[in-house]
Amino acid sequence: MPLSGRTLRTDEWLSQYLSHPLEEMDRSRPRASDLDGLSLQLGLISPKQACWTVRRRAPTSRDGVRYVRVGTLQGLGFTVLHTPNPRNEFHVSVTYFPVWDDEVAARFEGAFMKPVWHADEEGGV
Amino acid sequence: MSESQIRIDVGTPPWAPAADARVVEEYDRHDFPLSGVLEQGGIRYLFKCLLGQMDRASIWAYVPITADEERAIEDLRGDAVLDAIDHLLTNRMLTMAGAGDLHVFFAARIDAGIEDQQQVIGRFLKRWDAYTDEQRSAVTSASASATQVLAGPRC
Repeated sequence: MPLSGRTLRTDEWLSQYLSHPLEEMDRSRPRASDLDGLSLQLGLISPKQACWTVRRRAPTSRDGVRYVRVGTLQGLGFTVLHTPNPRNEFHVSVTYFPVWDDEVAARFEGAFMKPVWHADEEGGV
Repeated sequence: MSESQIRIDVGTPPWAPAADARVVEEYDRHDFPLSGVLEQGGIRYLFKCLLGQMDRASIWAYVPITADEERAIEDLRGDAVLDAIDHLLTNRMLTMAGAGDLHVFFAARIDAGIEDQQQVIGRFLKRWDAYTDEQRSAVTSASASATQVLAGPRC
C-alpha cells in the first residue's frame, strides 16, 4: 500500500540529485515520454547523501545536487507532492500538466540554484 | 522443481519488461521505479535496478517472490528494504536485463550464487558481451558504459 505524504510548505527546500555534468544528462525533464515527472528529495541534502539515496554508493566528482524551494516550482506551474516510499521517506514527485515540453523544461531548469558538486565540497574522487 | 521466470521483451522499460507485466508494489523510485514487485501471468516477481540508476545503461534483476517474502519486506524502511531485496537475489536463478536509455536490450538467466552482487553483474556483462555480432554492434556503447560504471567505486 502506498505510504502517505504530508502537505509541503512553500518555503521548504528540495534537492535534485545530479549524476553527470548537466550537458551530458538532461535533468530538466522526465527521461522517457511515458514518465510523468521527476524525483526530488525533501530538504537540503549533500551530494554524498543524494548519491547514497539514489545509487547506494560513495560519491565521485560527477555526483552533485541542486536546490529549489517548493513554492518556486509551484509558482512556475509545477505540482509538487511528498510521495514517500518504503526505501525513501523523503521522496518528492514533481509533475507538470499537460505537457512537459521544451519551454517547461527551461522553466524547471531556471528555478534551481547553482549546482553543488561533491568535488567542490570534499575534493572528490 | 525449477522456479518460473519472468518473460522479458526487448524494447520495453525495465520496470514493465513486457506488455503483460505491471508494477504492483513500489519499494523505491527515482524518476522511475527502481525496485518493487511486478505481476505477470498471475505470478509476482521482485525486481531491482542493480546498476546505472541514473545512467544511460542500466542492469536489472528479477526473481519470483512469495507472499511470505513480500510480508517480510512490507514493514521495513530505508536501507533495510534494499538489504532484504539483495538477500532475496542471492543464491537464486535470476533473470537479468540490460537496458539502454530505459529500454531493455538484452536479457539472460544468471544462476546467482553467494558471491558479491558486483560479481553477478560482471557475469551478466560477459553474457551481454557474448551476444551475437549483429546485436552486439547495437549494444556496444551501452555495455561499455555499464562496464565503466561497474569499474567505479563500490558501496
